[in-house]
Formats: sequence, C-alpha cells, structure tokens
Amino acid sequence: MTRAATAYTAGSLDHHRQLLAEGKDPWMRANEQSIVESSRNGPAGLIGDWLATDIHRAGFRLRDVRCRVLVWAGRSDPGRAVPDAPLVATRIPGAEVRIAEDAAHTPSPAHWREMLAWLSP
Amino acid sequence: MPTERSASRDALRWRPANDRWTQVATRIVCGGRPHWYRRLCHVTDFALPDGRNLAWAEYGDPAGTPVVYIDGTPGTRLAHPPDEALAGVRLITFDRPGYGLSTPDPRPTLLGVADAVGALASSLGITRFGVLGFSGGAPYAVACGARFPERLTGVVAAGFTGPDRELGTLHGRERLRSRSCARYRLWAGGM
Repeated sequence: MTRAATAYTAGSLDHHRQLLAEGKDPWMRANEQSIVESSRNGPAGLIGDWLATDIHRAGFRLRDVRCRVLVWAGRSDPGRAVPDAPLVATRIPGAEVRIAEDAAHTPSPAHWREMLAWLSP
Repeated sequence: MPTERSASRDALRWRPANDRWTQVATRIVCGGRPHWYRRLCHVTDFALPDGRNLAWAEYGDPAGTPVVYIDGTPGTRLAHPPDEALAGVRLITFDRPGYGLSTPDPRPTLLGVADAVGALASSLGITRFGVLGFSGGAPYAVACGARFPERLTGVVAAGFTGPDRELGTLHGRERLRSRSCARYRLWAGGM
C-alpha cells in the first residue's frame, strides 16, 4: 500500500506528500477502508471492473458524450492519463483539459475542491 | 424504474441482498448487529430494476449541489474526497457491482453502471447532478455522459486512461500489461 501510494503521489505538492507520508491524508485514509470493504465479495468487484473497462465493448463512442466534460490529470501521473487527456478531449465535443502541474495521480484536497466547484452550475 | 420502497429512502432498515454470498459475508462480518454495523458504515440500500442490490452512501451538505462520485479501482461507497472539499456539495457514492454490499453483475459493462447511477439518482429525486469519476471510476463517469447527458451538469474524469481501442493507443499484450496488470499490481503494493 505504501509503495503504491508513493508511486501515485510522486510529484504531488510537498504539503500533500507529507500528509500522505504521515497517514493523515483523509482521502488516503478513506481509501484504505474502501480497499478492505471492497473485498467483501472476494474478487467479484475487481473482475467486474476488468471486464467492464478492458474486455467488454464500451457500447458507446466518446463523441456520444454530449455534456460538459473536464478531463483532469496530474502532470506526474505514472500512467497514461496525461498523454491520453488531449486525445480524449479531441473526441468529446466541448471537453476541457486541465493538467495540474503540482499533482500526480491522486488529487490533493485543493484539486478536489476545484473539480467539485467546476461541477456546480 | 425505482420501486416505491426505495424511493421512500427507508434504507437504513436492514434488508438482506438477494445475492447469497453477500448475505453470508454480511452475516459473518456484521454478527448479530447488522443494523448498527450498517449505520456506522453509512450503508443504505437501493434495489436496482433487475433486483440486484446497490449499496450507497452520502457525504457533505444534504442541501448542496448533488454530485455522484465514482471512485477508482476498487470502488466502494467508503472512498470519497476529503470533507474539507465538500462544502456546498451533496456527494453520493456507491459500491460498484461486486464490491462491498452491492450484488455482482453477471455481465458488467460501463453503461450498466451508468444505468445504476441514473436509477439511484431518480430514486433520490435528483433531476440534475454532476458526476465525478476518479482513475478506474472515470470510464464509468464518461459512460454516464453518453447515457444521459441531459441530466448532467457536467462530468469530471480525473486520472482518466482513455479507451485504448478507440484512441488506438495500446495494442495486444501491451494493453493488458499497462491497463490491467499494472493497475492491480500497484494496488497490491507492487508485488
């Protein structure tokens, strides 16, 4: 868990990284509880996610998304979020891309606030 | 369509899920106090149109802007953005099928989860809402945008790995390695 957290937060704000290291980040704490809770049905949920996202056809195209979309990614995300963001945005009409320079995969509380504010009409 | 029972939000009353394994697991974990356990864990139930159980929870300001949060893998109702970010937001989270107290879906799809989100919001009387998907939950959030865009104030896809088939970014074994195995290895602590 610690190694996973480290990989996902490399490049985050120093303050946020310190909270994570001390185990005081509320998102990470809730996430730990969530991981334990997720295993209640054994691997059923993980298999379901894998089938839905990687194996079964999506059943829609990105161009079918006809509402406001914000594609957010942290610059230091170790996955494909940053290179994929502009590709996704070109296929979704009216999509907006925000790359946070001071974040990795996991948003900090300030980033969460920013995203939730964007959703308020 | 949601049932009258679920629409009345009598959810904190104990009601076993239809799935046998969920019943057994819940009985083991909850012991003789399912009522208390479920209160402590913010558990509420919703019966999907096909009879499956969807467990959900609510955080933040009950009078705030409704936002459905879809967490990354593994996604349960307990994971949510920090409370300090929830000012003016009524955040609704849920166990995706197969996680926590939600019944597994025999054929899980992105649009199937989107339908569950739509049904849950309808049962709560929410007509317009936002969807925030993070990491492994982002594809489900985007699916909501394709399924019922007119009901949404917007969709945020955070840490979103795009659909590689459509984007043409990954192929074959590279796709499997990068999207599935790596993700689960990271969560398992880099085994």
